[in-house]
Amino acid sequence: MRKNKKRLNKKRINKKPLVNKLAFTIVLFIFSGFAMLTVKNMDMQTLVISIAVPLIFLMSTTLIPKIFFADKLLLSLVNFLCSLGVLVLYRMDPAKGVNHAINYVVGLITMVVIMLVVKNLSRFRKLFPIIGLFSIAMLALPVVGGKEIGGAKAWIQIGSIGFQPSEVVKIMLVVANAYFLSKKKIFYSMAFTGMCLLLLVLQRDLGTALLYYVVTLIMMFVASGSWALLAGGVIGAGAVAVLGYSLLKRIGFAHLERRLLAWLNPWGNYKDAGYQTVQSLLAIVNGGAFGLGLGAGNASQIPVKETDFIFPFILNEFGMIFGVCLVLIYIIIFLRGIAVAMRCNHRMHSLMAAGCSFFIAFQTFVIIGGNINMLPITGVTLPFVSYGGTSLLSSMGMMGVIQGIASINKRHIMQDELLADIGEGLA
Amino acid sequence: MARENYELLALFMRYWFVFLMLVISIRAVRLMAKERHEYKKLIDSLPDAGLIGEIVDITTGNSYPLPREGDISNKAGADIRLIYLPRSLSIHFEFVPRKGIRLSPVKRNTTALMDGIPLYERPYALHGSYIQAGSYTLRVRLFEGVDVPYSKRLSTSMDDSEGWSERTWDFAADDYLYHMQTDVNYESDYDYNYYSHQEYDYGYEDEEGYTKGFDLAPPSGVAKKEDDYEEE
Amino acid sequence: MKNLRSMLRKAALVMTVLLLSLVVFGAYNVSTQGNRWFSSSANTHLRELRANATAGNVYDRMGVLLATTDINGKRVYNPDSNIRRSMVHVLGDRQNNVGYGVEAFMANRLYGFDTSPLVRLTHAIRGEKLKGNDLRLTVDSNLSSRIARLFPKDHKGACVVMNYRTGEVLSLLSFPNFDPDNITEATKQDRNRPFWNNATRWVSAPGSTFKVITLASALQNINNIENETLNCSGIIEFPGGRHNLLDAGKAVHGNISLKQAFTKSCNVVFGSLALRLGDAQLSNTAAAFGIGDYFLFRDFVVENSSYPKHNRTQSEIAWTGVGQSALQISPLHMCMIASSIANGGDMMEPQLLLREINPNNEVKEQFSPRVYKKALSKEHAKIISNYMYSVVQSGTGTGARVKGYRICGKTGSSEIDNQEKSNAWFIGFIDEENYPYAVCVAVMNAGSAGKVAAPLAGEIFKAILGVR
Repeated sequence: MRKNKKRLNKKRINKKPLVNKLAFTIVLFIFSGFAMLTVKNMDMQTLVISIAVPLIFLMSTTLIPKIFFADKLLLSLVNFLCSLGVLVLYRMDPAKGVNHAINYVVGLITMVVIMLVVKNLSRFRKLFPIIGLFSIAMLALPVVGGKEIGGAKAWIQIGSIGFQPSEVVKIMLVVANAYFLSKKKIFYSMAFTGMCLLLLVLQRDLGTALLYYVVTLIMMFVASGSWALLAGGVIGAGAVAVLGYSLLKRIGFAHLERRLLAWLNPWGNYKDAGYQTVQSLLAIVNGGAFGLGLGAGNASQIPVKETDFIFPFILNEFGMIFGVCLVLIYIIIFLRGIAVAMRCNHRMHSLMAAGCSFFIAFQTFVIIGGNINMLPITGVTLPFVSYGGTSLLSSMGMMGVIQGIASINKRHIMQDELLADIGEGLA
Repeated sequence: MARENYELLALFMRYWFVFLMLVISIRAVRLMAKERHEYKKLIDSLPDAGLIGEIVDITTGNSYPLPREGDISNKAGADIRLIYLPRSLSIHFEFVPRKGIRLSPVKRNTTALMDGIPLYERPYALHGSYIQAGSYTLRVRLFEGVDVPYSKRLSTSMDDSEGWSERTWDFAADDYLYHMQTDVNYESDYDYNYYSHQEYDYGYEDEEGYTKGFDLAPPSGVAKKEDDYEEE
Repeated sequence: MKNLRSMLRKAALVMTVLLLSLVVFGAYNVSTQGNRWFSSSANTHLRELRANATAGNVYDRMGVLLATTDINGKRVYNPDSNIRRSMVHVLGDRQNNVGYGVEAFMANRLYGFDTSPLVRLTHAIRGEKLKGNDLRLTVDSNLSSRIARLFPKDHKGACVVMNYRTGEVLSLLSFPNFDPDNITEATKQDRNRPFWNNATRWVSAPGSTFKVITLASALQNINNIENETLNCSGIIEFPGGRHNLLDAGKAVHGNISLKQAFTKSCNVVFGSLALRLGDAQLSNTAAAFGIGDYFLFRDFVVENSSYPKHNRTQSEIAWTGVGQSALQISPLHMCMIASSIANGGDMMEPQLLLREINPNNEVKEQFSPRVYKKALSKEHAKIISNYMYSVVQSGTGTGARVKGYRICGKTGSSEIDNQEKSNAWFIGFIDEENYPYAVCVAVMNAGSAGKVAAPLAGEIFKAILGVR
């Protein structure tokens, strides 16, 4: 078989340039951004970063595809988003910028590791049951001994490192659900997700719970093709929402009411409940179509701007046209992930890739929706760009899953080509 | 740098950034379209991409392309749609490398059989296996090169030899696979040792290479006598 | 797998649509409300932005300088304190306490935020501060300060004067007002909310002035209503005994025509008309006049008017017909309604900007009248106009009479819960070719409209006409 593989590789005549046009433009963008910041700050650290980050980008987009098969478009775009995050966070606060850059590198490593794991998924078949128990244990931890941030008890502090188990469990959720659904064991899937949701609700992290629920529902719908299931899921969610709303105060979710008020009438309450929303909208409007310029914006007043509200900050400095393009980038990432899922030959792989893609897309929808006041504010972050180690790692992990599945697809295509050659007597 | 001067610089640079961002978006979209186009071309050049063989309905002669994983049922969205299959019957098949095609019933009480084995035991179908479901009898034929063990059906061809198309030749497996079929209830006439691991029988085909008719007998595991083969 | 793929395709399509809807939602909201958000009092960054440019001058329609920036960069208002007080709700103040004033709402024009970076660069090289454009507004500061002095002291309220042919706003006053050069703690703590612009952002039940709409609805929907004899028995009774509809001063009018009922402002007749028309027809007519619209004017931020939707019992409908119940209309909107009747049924969009001139003396924007909507037909407008003339001639609005001129109007006293006296409203217009002006005054907690609002309107008309 190995001999055949080599022959196959020689058939590839089309040589692709080392750095394709897209990657080049991205590097130019990141570099000019950092160059501006260097001009603004005039210090050594900025100079170092402005060389380091484009370098990381170039290395990851050129080296990784050489060593493993990786979807180049996805790789470029995801790296772009991470670098953009470093750029903007650096402008906000150099310490955070450097931190994010480190997380970026760690994220790349995570992505590669998970890619390798997924590529050889069959070898890890034995581990699947353990994954289920592990996720539940992880989610149970914050409920027992967690730290409370922003009304939700979703963090665990180990020494000086804090992390959110719900982010780590995200991937396991997708994988476990893909496994159960590919074997048509819908009840197992429901039970597992239900357990996770319950724990999340106990953690009071409703934003993530919403994400989990919707993505699982989509996966179930896609796997089973039953519209009844979808309708049941939507109606069930609606019923829970209505029920929950009337019981809000009693079960300790008072801060939800504030959020709903802020969503429906932010301008009336712009000094207290609606403050975040109003500041976010103002930041976007102050920016205008082209923005106020990197480093020259006036959006420093938005609370939580490094994580949840980084999108308005970006729009303040880069403008609304940029914002539209940014959403477009996320759409492209999503569609590429779905394309990978469509090309799969096995249900489980397809569901894994699809689940990860939907996760990223829906999370983007929820967070940007909250920023422009289309949806109430939830606690989720913008994937790849927001500050937050675990968030970046989990998003990179999901990307790793998609890349791994793409790699499996590639392997299947190569096997098919081999079969075709055998059939024609060429092999 | 002084604040006002920097703000002026930033004001000019913002057009540059927006321009670059637009270029990035357009290039990303085009790259996606281009790769899709290339992929489509690749798939078009491989008409059997994603398939590992075919399933043949031996009563009517219809053949259905067999993907790596899918369902056989009478529903419209099934990968292999057999119209006269009873409604409750749905078979899920999945290709497992080095083991074969795993068949499992979607509902528990399935009366379908593969080579005499009921499906709830999740058997592995190989090249030449028969699946009996409802009123259908289906034969599994795999492409050469597909990574499955050597088929057990090969040597049980009856009076007419089974037709072989150019593509459905068996993969020359390792010789130890001959001993795999211990759970199948074959007659002792079956002689494994006839076939050395170097040669295999290509079967009968006419001068144009077309398949020569199908094995119409139900699966019974009755093998031919040794004498018959020596005639070929 | 085939099934999975097709389901996946559908789900992916939905998700993409969701993501695109973000863009659509954002673009729509920003394009319609962006300027409002930018100039609202919540946007503290506006102050920073203002500091870097020299704002242009603001003039009234006669050329009186209302606001300018001195050499130190400080904003200077007109030296006459009366003019300052009467203009403060139009212009705004330095700290943006008054929301959506011209200085904030038109900041883009005044501060030149739209100038290209090239121009900014040349200014920066020359070391000059960027200068914005000058604005000439449609308001008349002289008239406004006169009206401000005429308004009853110690009463809250508003006054709007509009040109009903073009939509130019001549006066926009809110009471209590304050001096932007003299904002004290007392001003900030004043419970009467001097910063609030009552003309555009206060909505309330307009009382009998709403009868013009009930009248319009009757003319549109009931055949030959003009020739009908209507009966006023002094009371409409409702089950339960509460909310019985009475006339002012318990008057009983007997058998009267529609015109007479309007002239005397008979509640019973109009309440019965409302019941006859039904809620649907009445609310449709109200909607034709813009009640219920989401106002998105270029120059103004106006609180939306609303027609009550809940608890539509018979008594509620009757009371709506006479301008009470949960109706909410702003004085500016009432002025627009009066203007539409004066203007043959066409309601013009209220505008504030007459001209915008850049530092090179080029006109960047020039006023042009825009029709907001067609509220009613020309014939009906003529009929109502006649009825309104008779109100001023011999009805409840005689206080607004000006000898030698054709003045039309309607009074309205609306009772408010927990308020001792009713609010006094008056809407009216000068039905003369050379003086196409409509007026709306609203005085809160003032008592009878005929005694307070109509005479005030009369004085305003005199001021407009230049009559002593």
